[in-house]
Amino acid sequence: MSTSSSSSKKIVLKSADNETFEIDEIVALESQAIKNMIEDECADNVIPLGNIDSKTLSKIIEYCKKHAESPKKDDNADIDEKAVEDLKSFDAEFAKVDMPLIQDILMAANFLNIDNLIGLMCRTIADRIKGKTPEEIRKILNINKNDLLSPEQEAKAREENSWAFD
Amino acid sequence: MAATIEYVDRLSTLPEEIRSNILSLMPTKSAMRTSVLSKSWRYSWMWVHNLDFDEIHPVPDLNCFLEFVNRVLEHCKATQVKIFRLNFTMGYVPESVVSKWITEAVRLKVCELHLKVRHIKLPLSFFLNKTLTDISLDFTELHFPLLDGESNITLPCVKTLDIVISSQPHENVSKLIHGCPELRNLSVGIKNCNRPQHYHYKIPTLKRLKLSICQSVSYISPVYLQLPNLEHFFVDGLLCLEFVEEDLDLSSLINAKATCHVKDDGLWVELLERISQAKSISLNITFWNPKSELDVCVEPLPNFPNLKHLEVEGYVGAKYQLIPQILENCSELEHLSIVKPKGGHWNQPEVVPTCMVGNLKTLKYAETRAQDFNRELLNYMLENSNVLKTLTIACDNMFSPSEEQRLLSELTINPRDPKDCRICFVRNST
Repeated sequence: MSTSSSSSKKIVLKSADNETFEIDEIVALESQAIKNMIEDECADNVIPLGNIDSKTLSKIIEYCKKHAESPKKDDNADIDEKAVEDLKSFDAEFAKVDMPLIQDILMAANFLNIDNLIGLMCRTIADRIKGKTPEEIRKILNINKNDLLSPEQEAKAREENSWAFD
Repeated sequence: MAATIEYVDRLSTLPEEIRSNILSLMPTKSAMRTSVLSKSWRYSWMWVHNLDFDEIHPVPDLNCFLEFVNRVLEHCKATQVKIFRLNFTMGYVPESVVSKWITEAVRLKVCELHLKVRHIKLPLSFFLNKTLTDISLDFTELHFPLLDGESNITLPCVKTLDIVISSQPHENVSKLIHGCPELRNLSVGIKNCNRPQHYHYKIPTLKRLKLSICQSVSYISPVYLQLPNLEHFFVDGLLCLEFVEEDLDLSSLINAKATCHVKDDGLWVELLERISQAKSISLNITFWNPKSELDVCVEPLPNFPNLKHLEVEGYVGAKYQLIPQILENCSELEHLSIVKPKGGHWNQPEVVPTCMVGNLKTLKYAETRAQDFNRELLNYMLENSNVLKTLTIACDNMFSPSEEQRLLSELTINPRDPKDCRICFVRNST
């Protein structure tokens, strides 16, 4: 942590709405996509992220910062249980946001290839929809009305998978 | 045109892989319900990589359930199924059906197989697979295919096996256990056995072993452990196992935990002997006959040459004599934890145990309520532990400031500089 702050290289990320974020390279490396860009030396000083807005991007940076400073499990030394707990409660707090933002974060995490964050968002969505009726899930996810099945198609789907709808 | 862009379901535009990740994190029944959400979600359930058929309430129509599992297995499009879990003990699933499902799971290159059903029949394909890493089998009856005497079982990738031994011969289960050349974690549950068995475990790769015994077992079975790399050893339930000394190898043992109900006093002292090389030991003993708690014959205890951490919960002898007895035999002990001890009056030992003189650094003493703490025990430990750094006092509820003050006033702090030993009050973690 302490070694990275003063001497480390900085990376600038630019959101879709033209806001720039200067972060330590080590934080940016949490993203496999950015890591590949840096390794292939095709990253300019400023990395434009044309499909991620500033609200989503600042959340993602918050997540990457926290995870970059936490000791990694494969550091071999005694796994600090407190650090693991700390990270867990950070994740739990981090996920307490509304569904549109969760979906934006998931889209962006998928684009930036941040495995842990994809997993966290998937778990959050799964927890919010499991055990719910289809009507409730449509509402939670705000399913596009143009994409709905016709009544006949829905009846057919229900019949095929009848056991799941008891 | 609308002034604001309406937010819509973005998951529909994500790769199928992400949606299948989400659906794999819930019971398969919930995943399948998403088939009516919209056109984009219509067939997403088919890509789930975890198949989880858990006990459902109310008990479904059995045929309907069988059809459901069949349909999911038939339509599964995942390139590899990570987890196949079936928990269905309320109704009887015919063993031929279970066998067919296992075959299907193996075809889907399953990594983790967790079955809890009344009858399990393992198909031949189970023994030919090379993908399983993690198996748990809970059943009342287990059937093996007719393996000819020559052929050996080999499950090359299995690292974790959790299996029950019930009323039938142990040989098959033993063959299965010893057929995993890379086994790291083994958990054996012994239940409803109606005759003594011999348990031989000779597993050079094993790191972690748990033996759990159900109360309904009523005889003593010998156990032979040749586990040179075992680090963690847990025994729980009714202690009806006799750990045989002959050929015993637990030379890498780090951590041992016994949470046992004892009928025969000799058996648990013997167990202590077998685990005496461990660095960390946790004991929670109760007695079948409450009388024997009082006048238990405390046989000579073994030496614990490597022991650094000790936790004793519950039984500590009629006059707490187990504590000084063990302490006397573990000269290297640094961390002691006494949890809700069931002793009468504290009986001061004649000689201060060696570890208290030079090594004991932390002491934790936990009780249910603030008034339960045995002051004599606490004071003895404080007065005689020369290098004690931390005393942690814990009870189920938070101490009130007055309770803390009262307890502190009753402690005779060591005449040494009291700053050397920190006293902290905490709440028992549950």
